[in-house]
Amino acid sequence: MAEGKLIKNVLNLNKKITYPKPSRTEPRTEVSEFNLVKSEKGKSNVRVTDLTNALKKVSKQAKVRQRIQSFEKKVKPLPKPLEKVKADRIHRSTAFGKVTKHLDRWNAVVTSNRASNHLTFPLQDDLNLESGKNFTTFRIKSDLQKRLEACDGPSEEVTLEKESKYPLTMQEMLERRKEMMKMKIIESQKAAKARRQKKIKSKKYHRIQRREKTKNQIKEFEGLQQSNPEEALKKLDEIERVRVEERASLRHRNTGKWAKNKQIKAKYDSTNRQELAQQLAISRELTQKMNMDESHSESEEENRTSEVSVNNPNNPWVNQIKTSEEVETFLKGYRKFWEERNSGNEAKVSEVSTDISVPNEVVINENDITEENISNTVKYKDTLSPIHKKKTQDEETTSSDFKETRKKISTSKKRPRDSTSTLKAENDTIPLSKCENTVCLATSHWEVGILSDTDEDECDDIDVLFEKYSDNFKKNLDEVKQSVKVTKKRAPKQKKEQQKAKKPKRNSEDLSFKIQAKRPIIDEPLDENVEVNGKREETGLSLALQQDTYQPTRATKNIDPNDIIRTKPTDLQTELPDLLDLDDNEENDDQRGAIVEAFQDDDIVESFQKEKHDEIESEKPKDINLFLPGWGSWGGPGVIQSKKKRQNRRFIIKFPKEFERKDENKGNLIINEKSNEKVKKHLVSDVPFPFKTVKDFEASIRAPVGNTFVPETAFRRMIKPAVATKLGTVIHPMTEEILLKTKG
Amino acid sequence: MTKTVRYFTVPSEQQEPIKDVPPKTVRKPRKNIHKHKNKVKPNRKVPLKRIPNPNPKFPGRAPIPEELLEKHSRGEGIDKSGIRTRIHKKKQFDRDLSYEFAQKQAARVEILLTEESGILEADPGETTTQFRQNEIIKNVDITAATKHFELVLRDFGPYRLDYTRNGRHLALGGKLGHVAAFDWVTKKLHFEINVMESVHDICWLHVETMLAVAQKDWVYIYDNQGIELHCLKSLDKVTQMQFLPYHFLLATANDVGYLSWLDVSIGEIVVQYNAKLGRINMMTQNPYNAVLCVGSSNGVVSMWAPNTRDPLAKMLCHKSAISALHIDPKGLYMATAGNDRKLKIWDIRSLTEPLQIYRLQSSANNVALSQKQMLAISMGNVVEVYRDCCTTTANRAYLRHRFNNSVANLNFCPYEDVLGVGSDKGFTSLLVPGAGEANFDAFEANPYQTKSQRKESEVKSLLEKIPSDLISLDPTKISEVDVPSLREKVEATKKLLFVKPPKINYDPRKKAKGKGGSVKIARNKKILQQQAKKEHIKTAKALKSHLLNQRKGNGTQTNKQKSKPKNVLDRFLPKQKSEK
Repeated sequence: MAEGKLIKNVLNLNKKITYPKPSRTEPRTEVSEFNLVKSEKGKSNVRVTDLTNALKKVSKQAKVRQRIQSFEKKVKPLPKPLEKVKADRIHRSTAFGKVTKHLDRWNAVVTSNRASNHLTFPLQDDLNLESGKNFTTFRIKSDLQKRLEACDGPSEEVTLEKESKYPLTMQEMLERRKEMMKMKIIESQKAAKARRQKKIKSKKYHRIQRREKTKNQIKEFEGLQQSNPEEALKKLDEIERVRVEERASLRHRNTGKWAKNKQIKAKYDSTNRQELAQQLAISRELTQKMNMDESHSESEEENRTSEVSVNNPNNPWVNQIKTSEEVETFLKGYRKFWEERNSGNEAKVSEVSTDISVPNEVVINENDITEENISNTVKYKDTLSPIHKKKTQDEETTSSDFKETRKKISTSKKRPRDSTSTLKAENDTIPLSKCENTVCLATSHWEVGILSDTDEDECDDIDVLFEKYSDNFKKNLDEVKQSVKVTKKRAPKQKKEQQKAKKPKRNSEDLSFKIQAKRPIIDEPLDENVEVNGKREETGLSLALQQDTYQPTRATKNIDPNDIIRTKPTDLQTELPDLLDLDDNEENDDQRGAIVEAFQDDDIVESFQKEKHDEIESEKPKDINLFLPGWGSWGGPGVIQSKKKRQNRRFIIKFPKEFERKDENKGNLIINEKSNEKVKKHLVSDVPFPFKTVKDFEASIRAPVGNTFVPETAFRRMIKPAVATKLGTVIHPMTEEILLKTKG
Repeated sequence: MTKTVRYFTVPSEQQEPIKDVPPKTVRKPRKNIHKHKNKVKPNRKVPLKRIPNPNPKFPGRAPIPEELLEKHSRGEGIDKSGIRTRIHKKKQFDRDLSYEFAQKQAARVEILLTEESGILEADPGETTTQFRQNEIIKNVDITAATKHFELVLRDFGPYRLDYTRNGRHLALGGKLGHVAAFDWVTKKLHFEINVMESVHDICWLHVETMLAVAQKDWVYIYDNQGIELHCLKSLDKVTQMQFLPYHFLLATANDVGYLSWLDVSIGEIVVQYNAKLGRINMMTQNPYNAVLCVGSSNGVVSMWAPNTRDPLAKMLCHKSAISALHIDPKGLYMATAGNDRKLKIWDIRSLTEPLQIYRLQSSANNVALSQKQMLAISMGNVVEVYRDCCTTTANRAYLRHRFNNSVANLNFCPYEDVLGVGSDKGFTSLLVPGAGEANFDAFEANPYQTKSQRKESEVKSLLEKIPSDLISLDPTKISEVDVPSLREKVEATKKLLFVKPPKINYDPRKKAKGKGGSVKIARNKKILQQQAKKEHIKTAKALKSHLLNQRKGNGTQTNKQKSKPKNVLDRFLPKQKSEK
C-alpha cells in the first residue's frame, strides 16, 4: 500500500494539484461565498438546469421549468462593461466621425469660396429670379422698332409647341420598358449564339454554313424574282459582290480550279510544282500585313475607280445592268454550278457550262480569274523593272520642269526659316502643287478589266504592249488634264490645305508601290501608272530625304550663309541731285564710288567674318589644367619639366565646346550672348507654387493686365479685388442656411 | 488592323444583309396593351409658349473675324495639368477666361477704328511720281492743305528737326544756333532763340514743354518758353540724340564715340562708355526694344544698350560706309543706305538677310520710315518717297520733290500724312498721303491733348517707367523664367574652383576680467580663420575630384561599351584597379 502510494505520489509529482469541486454535502443556511465563484472556464458551478431538474418530477411545476429553460436559452448574459479608457476612446472616435460628417457638409461651400476669384461680403443670397415669373415679356417698343416694323412687317415671333414633360403615360412607359427588355434578351441570346458559332474552329462546319447561307440567298432571290424583279436584281448584285469579295480576299490559295489542276499535275511535273510554289509565295507576300497608310490610298483609289468605272465599257463588274433573260440564264447556271461544285463533280462542270449560255461561261472564268491574274501580276512584276528604267529615262527628258521645281524647293528649304524665306518658299511651292495635282489625278484613272489569255504571251514584250495602248494613254491623259482644270476651278482656296494634307499621303503611297501592283485585276493603264508612279516615287523619296535632312533641330554648321540665294537687288530710277554747287562733289562722289566699288566686298566682309570667328572663339569655355608645376617631380635648377606631365589628362577638366549660338548660320551677324546679365536680376528664377513647369508659369503671365494694353472693361475685370466688403453692413459668419438651400 | 475596302464594296448600310436581330423576331405588343392605350390617353394638353424665332434675320451678336482674334491673341492658355491643386486650377481657369475676354473685346473694339489712311491714285497713263505738291494741295481739303508749308530760313543753315511723339509740335535746330519750337498745325510759335553756339541735334523730351539741344559743348534743356532749364555738362560734344520715352532716357552719341544714357526723370547718367566706333554720325533707336542702332563707316550697324559695354548685336549691312539708317516706328523694319548707292530693308527682329535691296542712282543722305512703312530718301536736293517697299519690291517712287538746296534732315510726322524736311535754307513740310497712322491711341499719343491730360499722362508714364536694365534685344525677356543655360552652368562650376576662402568676421565675446588678454583673442581669431580655410580647401578638393571623376566616369563608360566579351583566360591577366 505504502509502495503504491509512493509510486502514485511520484507519478503525481509533475502534475498540477487539482482541487476538487466544492460540493455541498448537507443543506446549510449559510453558503460559503467562495464556493460560488465562477470556475476558470466560465462555467458556473451552479447550473440552472441542475436546479430545475428537481422540478422534473413535479408535473405541476413542469411549465415553470420549461419557461426557465427557454429563458436560459434565449437570454445571454450582458458582456462585461469596457474599461473606462477604452470606452472613452470609442466614444471619442465615434464623436469625431459624427462631427467630421457634420462639418463635411461645408466642404463644397468652402472650396467654392476659396476657388472664386472675387467674393463680395456679405455673401449674397441667390435671388430666385425666374425669367417668366418676375418680369413681364411685354416691352414698350422704341420708335426705331416701330418704324422698322412698318417697313419690314412685325418681327417674327414663332410659337412652338412645348413638349410636355412626360410624353407617355406610366402604363405606356412600363409597356415600352417590358418590350425593350424582351428585345434586349433576344439580342443577347443571338449574340451569344453567334459568338459560340464563331468560335467553332471546324472549317468544314463553316463551309457548310456558308453554303447554306448562299443557298438560302439564292432561294430568296428566286422568290423575289417572281414577286419583285427589281429587288431581285439588287439581291443578285449583293450575292455577286459577296462572292467577288470572297474571291478577292486572297484566302483561296489552292482551292481554285487552276490550282487544283496544278496540284494534280505537280505529282508528275516539276515545273508545275514550281509554279504552284511561286503562286503560294506570291499569295503570302500579298497577304502580309500592310502599312496603315495603305488603307488611305486604297480608299482613295476605290473612290476614283468608282467614279471612273462608270464610263468604262471593259469593266465586267460595272456592267451590271442586264436584261431579264440574261439574268435568268445566269442564275440558272449559277445555281447549277454551285450545286455541282458542292457535290464535288468537277468533271460535270464543263459539260454544264457548255450547255449554259455565254454569260455563264464568263462567270466561270471569273471564278478562276483571281489566280490567273495573280500569275499575270507576277509577270508584270518581273517586267516592271525594265519599264521603270525606261520611264525614268523618259522622265529625265520630259519632266524637266518637274525637276526645276524640285530644285527650287530644295534651295528654298535650305534657307533658315524666317519670314522672308517662308514667303519665297510659298511662292515656289505653288507650281509644284499644281504638278502634283496632275500626278495624283493620273492614278485615279484605273481601268479595271480582265486580261485575256493571249495577253499573257504579249506581256513579255512590253514595247508591243506599250504601242498597243499608247492611244489609250493619250486619251487618259487628256481626261486627266480636263479633270485637273475642273478641280482647279472648283477648289482654288482649298489647294493649300489639300497640299498639306496630301504630302504625307503621297509619300506613303509612293513607298507602298508594291501594294498597288498586287491589285488582282490590272489592265493596260498599268503602264501609264508605272510611268507616273516612277515619277512620283522619285519626287516622293526626294521630298522625304529633304525632310530628313531638314528636320534636325539644330541647324547644321556647314551651310555657308553666302550660298543662300539672296534677295535680288532692284534698280530704282531715282532722280539725280542737280544742284550746281554740288557738281564738284558729285564728280568726287563718282570717283569715290568707283574706288569703293573696286575695293569693295572682300576686305570688309572678311574682316567682319574674322571678328565673328574671334568672338565665337573667345566665348568658348576653356579647359582647366589642374597640374601643379613641381608637384611630384624633382625641382631645382637645370631640371626640365616634361611637357607630357603638363598635358596629363588626369589634371585637365574638360568642358563642352559646342554651344548653340543665336547668330549661328546668320551670316554677317554677331549677337552678344552675355548681354542679358543685368536683366536676370529682374527675372523670376524659380517656378512659383501652383505651377509645375517653367512653361506653365510663363503661360500664366503671358498676357498683360494694364489698361494701356487691354480694353478698359477687360482691365476692370482683371483687377477686380479678390474680396470686397460692402460698406456699412454687418458681415455675419455663414449660417447653415446656405447648406440647406436646394435648387429650384 | 484596318479593314481593307475594295472597289466593289459599298457603304455598310447596304452591305449588311444579315443582322443579328432580324426585325421579325420582335413580337408585337399584346392586345391588352392596346386596350390600355385606349383607356389611358396621354396628357396632350400642352401649353403654348412663345419663344423667339429660331431662324431670325439678324441672329445674336456679330461674330468676330478670325484674323482679328488672331491679331489680339496672347498665345495659348495653360495646360491645366501643369497646375497643382484643384482650387488653383479653377482660379487659373477663370483668369484665362478673362484673358480670352480681353482678346475678344479688343477684337470687337477694332470696329471703332473708323479712320482709313488715304492714298494717291493715278489715272491710267499717269504715275503718282509726277504729282507735285501744289497739285496735291489743290485737290485736298483746306485743313490738309495747311499742313504743307515752307519756312525760308536762309541764315542759320542746315536744319535738324524733331516732332513730338503725338506729332503736334515741331522743334527746329539750325546749325548756326537757331532754335525754335512751335505747334506746327496751328503755326503757333512757342519760342525762337539763337543759342549763339553751333547746334548739332535737337530732341523733344517726354512732354512738349521740354526739349534738349545738343550745342557746341554741352547738351542744354529748354522749356517751351525758351528758358534754359538745365545744362548737362556730362554730355559733351554730342552729335546725335535720341529720347527713349518709356525709359525716360536721353541717349546721346558723342563726337569722340561715347554713348551715354541720361535718365531725365532723375537727372542722372545711367551709363556712359566709349563705343570705340570713332565719331558717331548717325544713330537711331529701335522703338520696339529701345536699343540704339549706330551705323559706322565699315558698313556695320551695331546695337547698343545701357546694360553692357559691348554691342548687343553687330550686323554687316553694307560693303561700304553707311550713310543713313532708320527704323520704322513699329520696330519691324530697318532701312539702311550705304555709300555703295544701295538701300537695304531689313527685318530688324530676325536680323537675317535683307528683305529688299535697292540700287539707287546716287547714294542716299537720309532715310526715314513712316508709321505706314513709307520710305523717304533724300539724295542731295531730291527727296523721294516709296510705298510698299518693305515686304514687296517697289519699282517706282510714290512721290518726288526737288529742293533748291540740299536736304539736311527728314522725318515723318506721326499720325499725320506729313514729311518734314530740314534743308540748308529752311524747313518744308510735304504732304505724303497715306504716310501716317490714321487711328491714334489717345492713351498712348494724343495729338489733341489738353493740358490736364498731358499732366496726367506724364504722371502715368513716370509711374510706368521701365528700368534701363531691361533694354535688350528681346523686350519680352522679362516675362520669362531665368533658366540657366549650359554655358552659364559651365561658368558657374568653373568659378567654384577658384573661389577664395571666405573671410571670417570674428567678434570676440566680451571677456571676463582676468581671463585671457588680447593675445588670446588674436590667437582664437587666427585659429578660426584657419579652420574655415581648411574647410574651404576640403570642399574645393572634393569638387575638383568630383569634376575629374565625372570625366573619368564618362570615359570608363565608353570603355566598357567597347570592351571585349569575357574570356576564360582573363583571370590570368594582371588585375586592374577598380575605380570607385
